Amino acid sequence: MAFHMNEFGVPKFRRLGTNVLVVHADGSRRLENQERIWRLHAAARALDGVCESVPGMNNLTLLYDERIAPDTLERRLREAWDMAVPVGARSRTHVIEVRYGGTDGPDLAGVAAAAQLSEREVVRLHASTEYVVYFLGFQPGFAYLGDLDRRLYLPRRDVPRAVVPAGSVAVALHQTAIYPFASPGGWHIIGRTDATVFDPLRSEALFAAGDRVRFREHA
Amino acid sequence: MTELIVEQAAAQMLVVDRGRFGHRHEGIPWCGPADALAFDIANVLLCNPPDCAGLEVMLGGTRIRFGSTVTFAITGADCDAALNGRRCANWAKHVAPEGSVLQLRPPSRSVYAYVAVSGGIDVPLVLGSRTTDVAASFGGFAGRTLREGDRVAIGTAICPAGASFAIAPPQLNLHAGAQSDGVTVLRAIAGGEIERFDERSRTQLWEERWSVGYQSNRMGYRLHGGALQYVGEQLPSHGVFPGVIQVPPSGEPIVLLADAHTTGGYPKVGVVIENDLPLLAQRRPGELVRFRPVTVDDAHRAAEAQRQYVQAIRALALERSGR
Repeated sequence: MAFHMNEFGVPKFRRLGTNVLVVHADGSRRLENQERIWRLHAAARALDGVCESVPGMNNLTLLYDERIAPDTLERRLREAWDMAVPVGARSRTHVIEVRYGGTDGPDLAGVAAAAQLSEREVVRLHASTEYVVYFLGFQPGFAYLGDLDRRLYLPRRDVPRAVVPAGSVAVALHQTAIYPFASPGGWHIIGRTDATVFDPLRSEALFAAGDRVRFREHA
Repeated sequence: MTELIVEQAAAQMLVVDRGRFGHRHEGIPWCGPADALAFDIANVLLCNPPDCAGLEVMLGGTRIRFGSTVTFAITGADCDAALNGRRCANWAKHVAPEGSVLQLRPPSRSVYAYVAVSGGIDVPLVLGSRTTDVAASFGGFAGRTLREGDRVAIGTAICPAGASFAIAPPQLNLHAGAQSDGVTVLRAIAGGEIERFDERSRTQLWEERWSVGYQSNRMGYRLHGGALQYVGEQLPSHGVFPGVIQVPPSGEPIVLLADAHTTGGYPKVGVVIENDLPLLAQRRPGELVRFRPVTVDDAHRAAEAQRQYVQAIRALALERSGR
């Protein structure tokens, strides 16, 4: 059926500043709600007058201009929310090769110790999960991937590193990510990839919200 | 080829345009000018299209040589500019004969000065923009601040050079009411999680004289003055943008600016209206600012007033260009 009215609760719409509308998905079903957020994002980007549409975790922030009235925008988004669209039809699956541990993953031993697992087991768990791109942020092309195997959940480092090298594969809380650029960072670095996740001169970011990502240990 | 040569580099001198828009969902920030009004006026004085790139010079201290005859405009922080050793007015258009040297000294107040050239700075478009993303090292001139010896290409002038002329700085008219007792007043719309701050903090936000912190840059300005107390729960990551007033666990607010990340996790108490962000960007560490609550309608009126102000300058510039 085309309609699943309010199956995931009613979204909350809030104005912010002059020309910003924020949509919050309600409830605790994080991935199902996030799929609705991606659909809203796709619908919003197709609307004249929407300048930026930024998915967050179970929320969407829309910057619009005078070409669309906020009430109209809200109505269109409510319609999109209620419309069931095939999930993941446009999403892609990426396989990323990672060199785990050693100088490429200086925190692998620490993560293993904290999880009371061997380094091999941490690598196996990290590389055997299919992750979902929830949203992008922090840096160009930086994708928040979830969910880690529960056994690998760790808070961020107490003292962030001044420089996390580009290509670092890191974990924190329920998430994992690849740093597209060298930057300060507070996540635990368990490996490194040569994959280019963002090359502004070539094209857009490699990952898009809704994509699937798998890691494979470098042979 | 028309070009300019950097003979002495400022602490930070970036190629900027209005911004890299439409890519925030990929984590790509706007990276437009810190003072968008001064930048826009520099292009307007030259009758450049608004998407032309120019130079943003932080705290002066630079010398530029023009490789051929170039019409340029300077706006923003008053850097006591001199062309071939002779003082030349700020907020003005000038003609530099081939080989001329433009010197900008450290300004006694404000932070960012703009140098626009007729035809714009000619660097490659990256994702639709010529502006520099310094953090990610792309766009602008090789993705970095300009250095001594850099040769920067200038596009083909569109408008006739015309005669030099200057305008009154916006401090004397558009922004005349923005200073009171040495405190810069920033209009802001309350919002975000403001209801989840304690009552004292909701008053303090508007009454405090906040001092601009030293850890301030194009990403955001940190303010000191007191701790705002958030009593809500941790927030999931959400979109943020220039103007957002966010409150980290220290309780001291940060106002996000041109290079702001696309997502954040700190609670927000409101948004500084777009028209007042240049006023903040031009404040130095230790200078005082205050927030004044306004409505969305007020913000639209302020935007309209600024549009008309810039439009009047555009009309004058067209007239003076001899069109």
